[in-house]
Amino acid sequence: MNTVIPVSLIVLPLVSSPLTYFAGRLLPRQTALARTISLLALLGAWLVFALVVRDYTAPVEFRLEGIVFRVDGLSLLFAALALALGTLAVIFSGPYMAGKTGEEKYYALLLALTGTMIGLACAADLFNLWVWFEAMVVASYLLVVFYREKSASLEAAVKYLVQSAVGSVLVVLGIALVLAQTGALDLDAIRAAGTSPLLLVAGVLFLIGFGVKIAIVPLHTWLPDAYSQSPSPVSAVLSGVVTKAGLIALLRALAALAGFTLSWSAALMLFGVLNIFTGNLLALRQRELKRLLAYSSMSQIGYILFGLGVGLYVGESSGLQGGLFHLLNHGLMKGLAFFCAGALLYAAGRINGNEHALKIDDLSGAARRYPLLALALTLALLSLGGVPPLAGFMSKWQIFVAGVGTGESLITLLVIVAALNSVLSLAYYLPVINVLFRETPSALIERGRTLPLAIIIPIIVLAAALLLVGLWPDALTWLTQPASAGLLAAFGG
Amino acid sequence: MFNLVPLVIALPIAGLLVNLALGKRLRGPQAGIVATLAAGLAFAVAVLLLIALQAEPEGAVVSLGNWITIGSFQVAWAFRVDTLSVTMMLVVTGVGTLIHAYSIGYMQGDARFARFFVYLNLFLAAMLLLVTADNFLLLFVGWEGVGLCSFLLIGFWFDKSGGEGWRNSNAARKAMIANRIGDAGLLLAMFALFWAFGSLNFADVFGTAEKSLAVGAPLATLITLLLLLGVTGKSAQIPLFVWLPDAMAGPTPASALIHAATMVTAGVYLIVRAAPLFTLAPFTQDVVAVVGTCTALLAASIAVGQFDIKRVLAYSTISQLGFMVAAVGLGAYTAGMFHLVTHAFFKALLFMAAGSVIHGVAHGAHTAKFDAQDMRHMGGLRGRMPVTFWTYLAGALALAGLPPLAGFFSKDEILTAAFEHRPVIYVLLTITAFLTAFYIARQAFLVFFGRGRSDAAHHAHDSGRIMLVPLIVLAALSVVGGALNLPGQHTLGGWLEHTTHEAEAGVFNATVAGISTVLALLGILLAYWRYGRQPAGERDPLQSALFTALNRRWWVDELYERLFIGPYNTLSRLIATFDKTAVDGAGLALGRATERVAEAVRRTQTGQLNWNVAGIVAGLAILLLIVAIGRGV
Repeated sequence: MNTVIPVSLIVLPLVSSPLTYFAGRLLPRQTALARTISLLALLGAWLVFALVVRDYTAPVEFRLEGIVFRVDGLSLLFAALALALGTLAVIFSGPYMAGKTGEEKYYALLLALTGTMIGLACAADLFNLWVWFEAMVVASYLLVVFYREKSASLEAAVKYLVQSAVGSVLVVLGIALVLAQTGALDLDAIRAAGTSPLLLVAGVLFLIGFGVKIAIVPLHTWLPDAYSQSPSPVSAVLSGVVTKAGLIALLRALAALAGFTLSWSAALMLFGVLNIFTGNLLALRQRELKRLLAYSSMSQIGYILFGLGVGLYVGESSGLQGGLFHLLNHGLMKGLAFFCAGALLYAAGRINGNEHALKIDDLSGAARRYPLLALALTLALLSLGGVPPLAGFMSKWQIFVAGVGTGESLITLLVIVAALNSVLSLAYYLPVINVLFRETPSALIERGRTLPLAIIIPIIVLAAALLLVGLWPDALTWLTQPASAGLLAAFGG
Repeated sequence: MFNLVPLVIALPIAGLLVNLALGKRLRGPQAGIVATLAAGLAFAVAVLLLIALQAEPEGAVVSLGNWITIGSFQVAWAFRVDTLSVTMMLVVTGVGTLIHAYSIGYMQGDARFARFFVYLNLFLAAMLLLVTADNFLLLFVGWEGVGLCSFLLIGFWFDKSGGEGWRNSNAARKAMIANRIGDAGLLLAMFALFWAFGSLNFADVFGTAEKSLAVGAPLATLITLLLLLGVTGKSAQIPLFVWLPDAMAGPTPASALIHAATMVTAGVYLIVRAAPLFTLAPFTQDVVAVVGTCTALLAASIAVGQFDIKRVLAYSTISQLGFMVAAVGLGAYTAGMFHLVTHAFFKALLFMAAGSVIHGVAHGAHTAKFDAQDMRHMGGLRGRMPVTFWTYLAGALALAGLPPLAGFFSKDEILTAAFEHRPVIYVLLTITAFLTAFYIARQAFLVFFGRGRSDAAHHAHDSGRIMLVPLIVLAALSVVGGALNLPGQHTLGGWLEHTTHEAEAGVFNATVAGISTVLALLGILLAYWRYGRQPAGERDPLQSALFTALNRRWWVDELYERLFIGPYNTLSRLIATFDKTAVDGAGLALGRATERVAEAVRRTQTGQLNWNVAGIVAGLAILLLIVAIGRGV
């Protein structure tokens, strides 16, 4: 394959990012132009993506000034998710962020975030993995603190920054250990090098370091503030993609160390179930919609971890595929849920930094005035709760089937716990749906504005996708199958 | 050309989507026209498939890709085009289009006009999915879909006043529950199929079964008996037939489409489709034949004692379905399918003619409390509704089995098959044929002959053109439909043979044909003698205990009430008490405990950065400790 093509997948959004900024900055009142440029850049990236997928047969390696990239199944899967939510977020942000101070920065940052995430997914050595990861965190940090004059935003951002930094330090320590022990940084080369107990410690450092971004319990404490205080489209991207970037980085790093004794898969399964349970408990008493969604992300991440753990444990691709499938689905469901929350905030005209102000009671009677929105949010929540025939059910089911298929009683027990937790999660999803369909509209709904098309389109797209994937689960197999096979090979299964 | 088959399903779906989106904005009959157009286009596609099949009669499977893949379990969006499925498609879309057009007139002015057509199109889509599916799961989707539409249409007038709305929705519920029992059988059959053969594909299942199972193998018997349970639900056979008469609560076009011409024949189709399995289970085939025969006889006898114009037809449908089921039980698949097709013509016709009568009489009624479906209020409509009368007569004579109408040939083929294989069944079915002629002639005399017995009957008038044209088309088909499979030619037989591989061609037996014709004439004569000569009074002239038994439908509903529903309700109450105290108590306690834990966990989310970073460090320390212990350091 011509290397120009995969290179431009990363380069295109990154180069367009400053372009967007300058376009918005230098030409007065030209934020629409900035938005158009970013949309065009993303559409161009889609085109490149389609070309790459068309010619993809085996992992492709290419160099850019001495930096090695490798495009494999996992890269493609993650690039697809990042592009999908990035594009929808840009569309959604049109009316949502209109007239905010620094609007041009916002689009530039969104593009940078998307580009760095694709770069992360293609990094082929440990050090560049970390660099891309840090670049991504910086971009996302600026987006979280976008309402910089609001104290709640600042608080959320400071927590996010400090905790990310702590994780980052641990990752660098881990990389240093690996380099000292093996003398290599390329992921494949590390795998080939000898064993040493210190590499185990490096693995632990990676698990904790990247785990902060994944929001593994007890490293999750930054998450509810960051998700609920960001502008809603950013929440959608954060929850739908950025969190998963940590997971991709962790999987890459651990795969390099997979030859050693500690079973990473057991750790993933245990943390998975812990995340599911803790996330559910935290969400249960939540009265703020975006915070509730944030906590529910923790528990959904748990399902992904669990599925991946099961797959790695038995060395079979079905669990991995289920985990990756859920990763994609969670991007769709949670993206949709946050977009819906954003749409309600927009309707209320309350988007000036008070993102957390949307109480669940404010949703009362939304179905009367915004039937489409209420339907979409209902679909998203039911899918999150794992109700058939929606996407979330299919991937959860695949994970559970893989878990029971291992034939180990301990894993079966964990599956039962996870399945019961699905029921528990309905205890906070269903009341929200109930409120949506109440008879008497809340003050917010009653005075709500009409929603512009740019806000409705991403919602319809994602809701349709949830239904489609639920009815036709094989629709995403072309992404999950090569990714899981590649992961399995990387872990030496 | 075979690749067109998904369109057959997609077109009605497109129609319903249009009506769903624009239903409130469409004026007058527009929604009905959209739906009829969708159905008509689907019919056109079916005709194209028919033409394509002429060149390649073995047909093809069109796959749109995988639907579900779980381990070795694979189900595809695959549609089968063969002579059997195309025959069903033609019947469903052809008769369906006529009924759609008729409904434009019948449902005129209804508050939920557009919604009615959404349901009709949805029904078509589901029914077509059922008959084109290439595997049991896809078939089941269609099977459930038609069940849903049946439920929605029976209860369509759920909000009528004076308790009638309740009766309608109860009828819908009854249909749903009876069908559900049958569906459970079909589901279990699918589980058994997957367990035994590892696939739900028709080709895989039948191929493996023929290779690995001997004739009479217990597995084949079990699977086919479970399938039969599904058939008794959907096709209203003993013991699950009780829902169909109540289903007449729905609008008459729905009764014609779903509860006469198409959906209820799905069971017959299923048996023909799964013929390779049934051939392996002679015992089940006997059971099928016996169930069909008994249903035919029982339902025909009940039809004799009904006064409601639609109920007579409902029991007649059950009885005729019994004929078809008996036929396929005897292995006479062509005869069964032949009767399915002709029955679709004349029974849809009879229902729609009855609808026209009800429409006319109801318009003539001046009192609010008036039952427009009671035949005792009718009479003498021959002159007032001439088109309805003549078309009805064609359907009635076809049903009675008089030569050379459609019903004669198809019924005769079934009787001949029975005559050759199972004399007892032949005798019972011949008695049924006699009763059939009697009850339909009775209805004809009560409704159309003599003098009007109510004010309404005197003021009735014929329906509009949009309702009469479909009647005329169907009447023509009922007259000449027998040409599909004339003795000696066996067009349909030779056509279906490509799919069913039935070796034996139906033969024409002059004795059988003679006896049945004579008996049919006798039945009509007897009806004339009882009902045709003088106007029937307020009460039926047959005042015997036998008539009461027929009128009360042999007390089957009451028996079910005592035997199943009563005890079930008692059991439910017992369980409800247990549920409300013990289970709910435990659940509430668990819920409260969970909330308390959640509250405790919530406190860990202090929002203090120091504490958060401490969490990270603690996590690291614990993991390192685990690693250390694991390494034995």
